[in-house]
Amino acid sequence: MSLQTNVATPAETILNNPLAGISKEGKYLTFYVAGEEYGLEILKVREIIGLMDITTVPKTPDFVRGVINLRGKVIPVVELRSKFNIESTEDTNQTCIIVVDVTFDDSTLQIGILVDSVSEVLDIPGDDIEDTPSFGTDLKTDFIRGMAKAKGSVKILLNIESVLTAIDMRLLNE
Amino acid sequence: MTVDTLERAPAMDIKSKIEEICEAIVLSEPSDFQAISNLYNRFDAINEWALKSDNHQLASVIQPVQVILENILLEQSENPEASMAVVSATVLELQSVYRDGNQLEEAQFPDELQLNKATPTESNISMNLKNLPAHVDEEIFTEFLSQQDGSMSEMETIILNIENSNEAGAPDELLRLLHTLKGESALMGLSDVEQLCHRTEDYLKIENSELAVDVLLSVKDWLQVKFNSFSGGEPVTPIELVMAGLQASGNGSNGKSAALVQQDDSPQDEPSETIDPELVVESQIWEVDTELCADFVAEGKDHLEESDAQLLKLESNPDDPDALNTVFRAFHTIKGVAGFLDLKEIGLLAHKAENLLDQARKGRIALKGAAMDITFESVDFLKQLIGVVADSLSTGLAPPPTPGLTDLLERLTAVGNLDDANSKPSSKTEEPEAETDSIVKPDPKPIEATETTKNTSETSAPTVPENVVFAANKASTQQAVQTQTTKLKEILKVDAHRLDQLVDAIGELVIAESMVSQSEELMSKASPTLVKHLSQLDKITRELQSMGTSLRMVTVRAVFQKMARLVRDLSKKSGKEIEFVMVGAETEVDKSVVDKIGDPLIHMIRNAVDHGIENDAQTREAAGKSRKGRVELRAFQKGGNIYIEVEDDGQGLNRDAILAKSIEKGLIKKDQKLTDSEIWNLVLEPGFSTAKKVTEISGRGVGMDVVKRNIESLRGLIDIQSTQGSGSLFSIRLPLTLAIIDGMIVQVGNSRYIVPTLSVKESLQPEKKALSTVLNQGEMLDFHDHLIPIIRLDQQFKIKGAKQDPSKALIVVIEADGKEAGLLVDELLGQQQVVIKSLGETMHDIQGLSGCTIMPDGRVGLILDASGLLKR
Repeated sequence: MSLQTNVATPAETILNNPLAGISKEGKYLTFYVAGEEYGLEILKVREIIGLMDITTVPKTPDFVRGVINLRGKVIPVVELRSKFNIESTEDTNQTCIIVVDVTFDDSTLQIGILVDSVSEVLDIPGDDIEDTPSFGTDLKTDFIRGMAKAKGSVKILLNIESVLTAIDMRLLNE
Repeated sequence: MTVDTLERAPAMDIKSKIEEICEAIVLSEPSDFQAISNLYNRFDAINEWALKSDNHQLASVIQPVQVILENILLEQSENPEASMAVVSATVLELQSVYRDGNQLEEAQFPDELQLNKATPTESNISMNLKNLPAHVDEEIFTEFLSQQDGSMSEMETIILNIENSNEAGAPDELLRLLHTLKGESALMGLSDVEQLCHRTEDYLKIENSELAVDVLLSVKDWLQVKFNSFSGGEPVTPIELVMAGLQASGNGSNGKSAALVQQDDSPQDEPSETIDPELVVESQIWEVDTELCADFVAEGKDHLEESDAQLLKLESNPDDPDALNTVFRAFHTIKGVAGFLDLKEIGLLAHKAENLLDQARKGRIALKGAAMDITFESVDFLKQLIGVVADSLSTGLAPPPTPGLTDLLERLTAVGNLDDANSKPSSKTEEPEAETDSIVKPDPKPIEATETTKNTSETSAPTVPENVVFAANKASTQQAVQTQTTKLKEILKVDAHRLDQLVDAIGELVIAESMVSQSEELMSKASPTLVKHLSQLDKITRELQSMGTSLRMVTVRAVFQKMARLVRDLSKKSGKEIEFVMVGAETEVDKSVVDKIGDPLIHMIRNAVDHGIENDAQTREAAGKSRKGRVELRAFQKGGNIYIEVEDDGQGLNRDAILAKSIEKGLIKKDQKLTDSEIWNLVLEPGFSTAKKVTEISGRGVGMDVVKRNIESLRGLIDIQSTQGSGSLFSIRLPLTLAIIDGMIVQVGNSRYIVPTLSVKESLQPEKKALSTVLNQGEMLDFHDHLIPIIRLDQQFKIKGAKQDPSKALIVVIEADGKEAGLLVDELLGQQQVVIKSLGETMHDIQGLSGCTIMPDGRVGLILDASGLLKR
């Protein structure tokens, strides 16, 4: 089933996406950022929390909103809007933080991602997942795991490791 | 054709296994490492099966084969081809047993296996243990390794003392340490360690005039590296180097020592030969370390409990070699430590019991009936004796003489000898620790000879003299115990990770508690009772917090001890006479401080000795100082800080040379006016450390940036004082704990930050006239008659809404690395103890921030790093 999609996977994607060779089907948590629907593998999601006070940390990239206290643990919060170069808006009562487990250099970190609203948990079969179409040079798609068509709309499945490893790269460069 | 029912069920399996081996053996060349190890594994599987199904006869055939294979693998076999032939002959016989259904008893195994039908398997098993550390229980091995840390530093102390004491001959403590180590490493299968200890013991006994301390230290170093190598340290240097050193140092007595070595290689001599001197040599009176003694009591009790359990196991299953070994080990350890602590009663009893168990281990007596009873009795008696020591430790009174010991000792000896004599005819079996090549080339006669000599010595020698010595020793034991007044401490070894988790959890609790008790909602409605309860909660939390931090505290003794060694080595190398003084080695600091302080101290001490102390005694005398240089290492607690200081009475720092070099290096401007402390701090600059020329002139600066960096990572400060001609003082100030700091909370715009109180000098509201600008940009504050720069945090950190007019805001003067600056803040919100947390792996190394904490309101607060802010 899903093997078919994988056969066509370009080598580039394999490099960028460590999970490219593995079936992408499974349960996804979907959420909205600026009107678009995204999906995150449910296994990576630790919890969803409402918006809380975020302490801004100086000298960090703009998409790092700051740090929060998650039951005594200090975790960074990344704003997906500014990560995707979408203009920030005021936080609403729908705005929430999805805490995800990110494996990075053999250690697992918890990172919060700030999204406009959370939608639902979907079971997406492999047949419904397509590879990221290429949009030309301007649009970077390396953190997109695939596109899913479910319930009549397109969901962008994120490869959260690629989204967040970039933080480190940016921080180190500074 | 009758086969045991036990054997029948798995016989199919074993048959095919043996067939497999048969095939494998045909294909195996002795030089083919993989094939041999493959074979070894197959035999191992059979051995395991045999032990499981209680087929000791089979096991006793398999085990020697394994030993042979091992020797081939380790290239210790003299004739691999012949050894292989032995192996295949054995396999053929096994084949005949399991395929053709012959009786195992009737199988004609090759003589080289040295099988003796009367030999129980114990001897073979201990043979395995000896050669193969992999067979040793991992837990026991780890335990063994963890103990070595302590004994290594102990050994070093003793060796260093030899040099200072000028007394001829080796101290008993050293002999005991080595002996214990030898015994234990033999059990652990570390034959090289055992051998080295053995040689060193020999060396110590022969060389009675002057001991080459360097050689002994090299032995100790090798041992340490060896032990570290197990826990992933660097690989060991060849043992031959150390051995050669021993040999060379033993100069004329080479032949004698070699003879001794040979004689001692037959293991039976070991207990009698090496214990006897231990008992006969009357040790000089030395103060018993009460702490060690308390440790021993705690450990000894554990060992005895364990022995009880294992003995019970043995009683129901007499063939359990593990249980027997455990009991043996317990007695052996108790003996070793008791000997070291001069607890003669315990040592003697443990030794006797150990002898008995050793006989059982070697299969010369069966541990049942009277032998078993008396072993139990010994365990009980040891418990009693240890209890007496424990009582004496806590009361400080001399322990009452324990009645019945002599009787028990006599009976122990009697049981041992009786059984020994009875089983003598059957005891010409292969000795477990005999040289491995004798398996291939049997030569039973010499062994028998040594055995008879040993038996006579054992029966006649110990009984009379030991009792005499015992009586004499009793007095000294009492004396030793009398001087102790320390309370008995129970020691529990805990996984460091668990401890950290506990400390973390306490940290959380402290935060949560302050969140509750400072909650405004709660306080507005609080009844007097609630307030009372809350303050009680607060009190308990604080107590818990201080307990939590004390959990991780250890003394700096170990680190200081290393420095003593360093000074000794350095003074030898440089030819300077140096008196090294340690003060406050018992000061407790956080474990991580101890781990990190070592390197800086090494650099500081090295500088003090190499460059601080004058090169020759004449210069010192001319300056009116004693010939011997003096280096003092101090640790003490003052206020909320720990101070560690290195002071020397040498020539001091050369101010002009430092200035000249700094100007040359571009660290300072030519006409810059600097205070003394600023000048001294220059030597900590990274650029300085590489400047060879300056270090020769001024004498300081090698590796000092390492010192600075390590101390900064511990959030400490370093202060240097120096007077030319009369010495210098390097003082390190460290926070008492690493987890919690005192902080001042400041408000800047919409953000709050925490400034560590350690780096706050003063906070003030500046007057207009104290402020000035340079080129309309750089702002300055006149602070106690000198100008310091003002740092605008809102600009550096891009904070919105901060007060811009300094005269309306506040200035917090911070200092670090001998530099000062004023931090412009809107408001001071208060002072608080905060638990430091890292910002996480994604955000470390942000300049100006050292971490974060959780504020009473649950938000995250950022902690400022003064030295980072001052760097620009």
